[in-house]
Amino acid sequence: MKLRGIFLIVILFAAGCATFKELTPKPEIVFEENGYLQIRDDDENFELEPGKKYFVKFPPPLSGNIYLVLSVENESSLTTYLTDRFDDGEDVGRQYPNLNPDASGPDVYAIEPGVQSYFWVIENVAGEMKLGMTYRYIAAWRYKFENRYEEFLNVLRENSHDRTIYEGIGSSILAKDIDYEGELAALHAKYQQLETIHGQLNEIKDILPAHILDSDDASYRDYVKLKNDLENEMAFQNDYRSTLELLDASLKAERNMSAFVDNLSQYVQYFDQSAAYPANVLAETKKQVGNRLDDIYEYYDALIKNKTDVTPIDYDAGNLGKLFAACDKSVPADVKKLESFISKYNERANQLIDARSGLAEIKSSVSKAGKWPGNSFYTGILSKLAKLQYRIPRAGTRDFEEYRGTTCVKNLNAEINKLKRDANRRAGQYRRAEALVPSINTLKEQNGYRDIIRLLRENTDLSFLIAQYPDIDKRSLNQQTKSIDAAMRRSNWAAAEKGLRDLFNDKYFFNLKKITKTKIKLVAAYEDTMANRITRSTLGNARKFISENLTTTGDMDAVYANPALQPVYEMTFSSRGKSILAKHKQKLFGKLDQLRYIEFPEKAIKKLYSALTADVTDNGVARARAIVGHGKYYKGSDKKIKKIIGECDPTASKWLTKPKTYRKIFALPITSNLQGENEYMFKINLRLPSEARFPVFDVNIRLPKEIAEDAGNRRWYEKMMMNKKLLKNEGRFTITAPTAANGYECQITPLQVVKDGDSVLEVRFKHKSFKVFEISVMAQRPIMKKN
Amino acid sequence: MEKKTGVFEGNKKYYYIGGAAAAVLAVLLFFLLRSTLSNQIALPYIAHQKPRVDPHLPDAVALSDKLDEVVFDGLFNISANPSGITYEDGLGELIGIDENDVVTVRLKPKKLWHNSFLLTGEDGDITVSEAEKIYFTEKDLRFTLRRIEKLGSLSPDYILVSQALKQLDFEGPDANNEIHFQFKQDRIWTEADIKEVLSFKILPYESDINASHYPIGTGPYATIHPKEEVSDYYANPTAGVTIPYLSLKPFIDNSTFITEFKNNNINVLLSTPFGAMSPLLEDPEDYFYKSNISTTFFVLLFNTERLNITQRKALRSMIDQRVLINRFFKVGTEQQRHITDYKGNKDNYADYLNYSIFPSSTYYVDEEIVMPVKQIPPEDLSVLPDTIRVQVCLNYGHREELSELAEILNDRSLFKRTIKVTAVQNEDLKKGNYDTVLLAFSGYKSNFLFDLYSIFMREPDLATYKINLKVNPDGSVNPATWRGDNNFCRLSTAGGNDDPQAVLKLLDYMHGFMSSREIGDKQAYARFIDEMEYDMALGKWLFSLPSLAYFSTQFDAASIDLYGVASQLSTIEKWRERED
Repeated sequence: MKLRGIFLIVILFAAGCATFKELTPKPEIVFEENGYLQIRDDDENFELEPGKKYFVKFPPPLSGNIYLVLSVENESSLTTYLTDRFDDGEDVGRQYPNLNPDASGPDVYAIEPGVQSYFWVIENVAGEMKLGMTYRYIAAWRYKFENRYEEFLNVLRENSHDRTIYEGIGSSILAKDIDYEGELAALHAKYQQLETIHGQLNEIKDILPAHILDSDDASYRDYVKLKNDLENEMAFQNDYRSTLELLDASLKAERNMSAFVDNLSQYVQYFDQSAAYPANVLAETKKQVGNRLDDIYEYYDALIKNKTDVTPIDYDAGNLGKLFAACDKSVPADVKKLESFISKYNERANQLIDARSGLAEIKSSVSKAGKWPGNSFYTGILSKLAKLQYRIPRAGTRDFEEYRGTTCVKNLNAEINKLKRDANRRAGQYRRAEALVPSINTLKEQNGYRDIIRLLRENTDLSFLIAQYPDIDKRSLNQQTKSIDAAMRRSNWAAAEKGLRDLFNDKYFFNLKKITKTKIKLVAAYEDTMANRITRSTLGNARKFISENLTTTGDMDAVYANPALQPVYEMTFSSRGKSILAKHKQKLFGKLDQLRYIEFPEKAIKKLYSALTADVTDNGVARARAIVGHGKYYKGSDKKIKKIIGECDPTASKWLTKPKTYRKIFALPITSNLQGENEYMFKINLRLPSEARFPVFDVNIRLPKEIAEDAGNRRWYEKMMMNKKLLKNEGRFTITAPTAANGYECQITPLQVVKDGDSVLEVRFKHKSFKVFEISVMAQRPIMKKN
Repeated sequence: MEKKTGVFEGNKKYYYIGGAAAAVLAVLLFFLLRSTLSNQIALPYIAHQKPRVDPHLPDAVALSDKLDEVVFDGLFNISANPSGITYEDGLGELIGIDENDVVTVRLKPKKLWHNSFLLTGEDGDITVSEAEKIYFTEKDLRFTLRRIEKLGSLSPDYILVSQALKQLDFEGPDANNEIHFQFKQDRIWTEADIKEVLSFKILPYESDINASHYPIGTGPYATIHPKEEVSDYYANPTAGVTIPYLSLKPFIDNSTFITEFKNNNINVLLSTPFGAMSPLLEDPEDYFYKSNISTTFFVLLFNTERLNITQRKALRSMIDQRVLINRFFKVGTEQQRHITDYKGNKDNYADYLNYSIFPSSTYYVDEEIVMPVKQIPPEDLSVLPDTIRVQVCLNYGHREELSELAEILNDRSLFKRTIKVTAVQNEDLKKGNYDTVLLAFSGYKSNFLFDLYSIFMREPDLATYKINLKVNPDGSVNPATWRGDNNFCRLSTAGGNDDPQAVLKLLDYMHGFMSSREIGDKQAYARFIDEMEYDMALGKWLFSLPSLAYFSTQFDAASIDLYGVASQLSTIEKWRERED
């Protein structure tokens, strides 16, 4: 009991919390086509409170094409819409559009079966009110037809045309008295209005339910009658308009036979429908057209006699015959003769056109055949031409009887003969071409372009053939350049250069003037290519050689004299003169010299020096001498490289520029006794900054133990010279002996140097070895002391 | 029975007693009345040649420069031991030198200037009391460097310091009282080099930068009477000196020095007459001697106004200094004056002969930077006047030697022309009435710093020591330096008997030599000057005087180290008395 009470409270609370209130009419709303029904809450209208929201459920229809019509009093006080899904406003389906364009009228919604319910939602109530509302389910066709029935009737009535004239033609009304323009305009306007409502009625027809077709439904009966009346009026207006148009055209042909002839098909078409027209109308139209047919012969006879061209004569014999019959007339004899001539003439004229066209096609096929035709190309062309010649009509006037003397007949014969001559001339040319092409193709295989040029030069009248070899000069050029290129690929530079020179001097071309510019350009390009290839080949050889000889020691002069470091060929020809030749050489030697006099020595020196400094005892002298050997050829400006060369050259003085800093130098043998005693030398250029006008320095030479260890018994050096003046250990300066106690350091002090000039201290000593010694040298300014 | 004695017998005892008493009295009187020099070093000087103590300028009185070592300290002090020269901390302590040749020296913060003490009393009875303590600071060092820079080439210290320092200044001190000198970066500076360079003597910053002498120092001995021209000295209480008193004894001239030494009126004789060993001081029980390098030479400077270059050359060739030296030392006679040098050579007179401006003892000759012509070719003596007039002043040192030389020169048998030497007063020299003047130059240095200014630019006034160097703003020497009457040779750049351009050139060379701080320049200029002087014949360079010092055996010989060119007093603080 308690639980139920709680459940009830929850339900009530939930209901009290709902946003929209459902209005549940009594009697309830049902789907039926039964006019307007009231929505009531028993006997009263629902009371709506301002600010509150409501909705009403409508059942769906049972079939398609149904409208729901809702009529609400004071609807402007409400904000409403119809939707097919509504979950207390939480999940709202699409809002259906109101199909009624009249805002003051009821709301009309097209609804379909298959929906659970439709919801008419009151989103807002402007003020307290009672809901006065009716609803109606109605078939769509009915709603559309019933609502516009009166309108349809009015349109039909207003656009029905007066039939007086039509019915009076040929009797009370003469054809010439009719206002064709006004009548046709009025008919046109009215027919358009009728066509509009005819379309709308057909739309309603498409939505008629099946069951209505056999029913006595009043609205349906009205619909059927209205539609029949409308279609009857429209058929009348069509017939009337056709009659007016024919009469108007035939009357106008009295002054313009050409226009009459042009409209023959219209007349034939009208008379094909003769059953649709009343007798008066048909009689009048036959009369009017028949009158024109009487002038046909004169018209065409004059036309033939005045004709000068050879085109076929435009004569509609079929329609003329039908028209004579429709107008109840037989074809006159002169018209039949006329038709016979026109038939023969047109046959021959058409044959001429056909043959002409065929010859043009052959010519076109020749011109479009492309370059360098195959051997059988002209055989095929000749075959086609032979067939064409057969199709050329024969000339002659005999068949044209009384018209054989007319200009058009004469001209036709002349054109036929001309075409024959053209075909014959072409045949002769094609036969020559047929003979030449295989020879040309054979020469082509043999790269005999110069012979092909000769052949073409001998047959310059065969312009179509010449045109098929537009690139003969170019091919001749190419053939020569290929030879040059091949020679270059074989590195046969002399042959390549000869080819270039020959090509430059070659004047034998089909169109020399035209090809000369290209040839000159080509020769220049190949010159450049050859120069580039020579450079590339030369540099390639040099690079390979260099990479293989970076660590080579020994006779460096021989290394640098190796052919691999020389140009593979030196060009002697240039079509552009000596300056270009010089430029090529300059480029070649520029790069080669860069390689052999800069890159090679730089790389080799770096590598050799790296190996030397890594272990001076390992082939040190050879490496140092190789570095010096490279140095002889080095033309670069890399100070580091030059320094290395200097370091390894015993005859080069090593600059000592920083005071008090020991500088490591190499002492190298200047003799080459591999097993015995050698003389060594090193030179130091004292280029130390000094404020003194007559600078002096203490020079310390730190010697390897090997050199200095016996200095106590034997002077370690042979001689020391300063700027080539012998230094003696006496007088103003002292040469101290290197001893183990002083770390084998020899000091020369004070050594007078040349201010801002070279002060080269040269030291020579002998030692029983053949190796590189590392010696450290330092110089510093001596100071004065009091004591 | 009673034994009777005679009168003699009876008095005999009294005679003996009386005699003994008299003897004792005599001995007592001898010891009581004899001069006692205990606890003091007594040095002689010539009364009118007062030593002028200026640590940065040389002086004609040799003792002046020696006293520099007594009174002043440098950041480092040059000393000596039996093995040679040593450097000791003075006012600084060497911290080190970095890779950028910045030398760091910690200034000793507790070094006191001498005027931090009051010295009262006389003759060794000195009382030392404390006054306001005046500490050595970087201000003193900065003042000293400024003074040295101002003196320029006049000061040997300028040459020595400026050859090492980029600027005569330093940075600091920092919290550790360390200062930093930027040394030149063109050599490896050894500790000895650095200390040598920074061994210049330091003056208190409140000193007058142009004072005639400087009595206040921080050295081992303090001046007792700073306001007097000459004072005795008393041991700096903070210096740890063993002999407290240093007295300077004035005498008329050097002729009595030996006697005074013998009479114990002085106990150190820094130079003997003739530089010779004295027979009177032979007893090793009482005396010992130590030699070092010569510091005095004799020369006949020619008056260029009176003798032209031809005459000067002739005069130079006429005088043979070998004859002079043999006579001077009485070689081969019983009275031969024996000499010895610091190397131990005996009677090597020829070693003292000079053939150049640069004495033979100097570095420049010794190291053959200059190679003087020893065999001067004979010249035509007819160009000379009949009598060569020589003037000499005997009143300013070396009276004995100069008298002897005058006598020798006056000996007509020795020369082919008459030489007449006249002893004149100092004032007469200024007048230039001589063909040549006989002079003794004392205190010359045989090292790089041999002083040419003192020979050629000194005012011809032996009573003062004035160098007439004039320097242009750009540092070059001004020709007005030689004005004829302002130097002994009467050289003038304005003309005279000599080519003015040659004179100017010589002046330029001399200034170059003196102002250069580069060894190479010194050497080159030395050669140029030697050659030019030979061509111009400005004097006859006679010989140097051996330098021989005698000491009383009151002193422990082992405590006195003299070495080569080091100052004789550079180790005075280490001298001690002999302990028997």
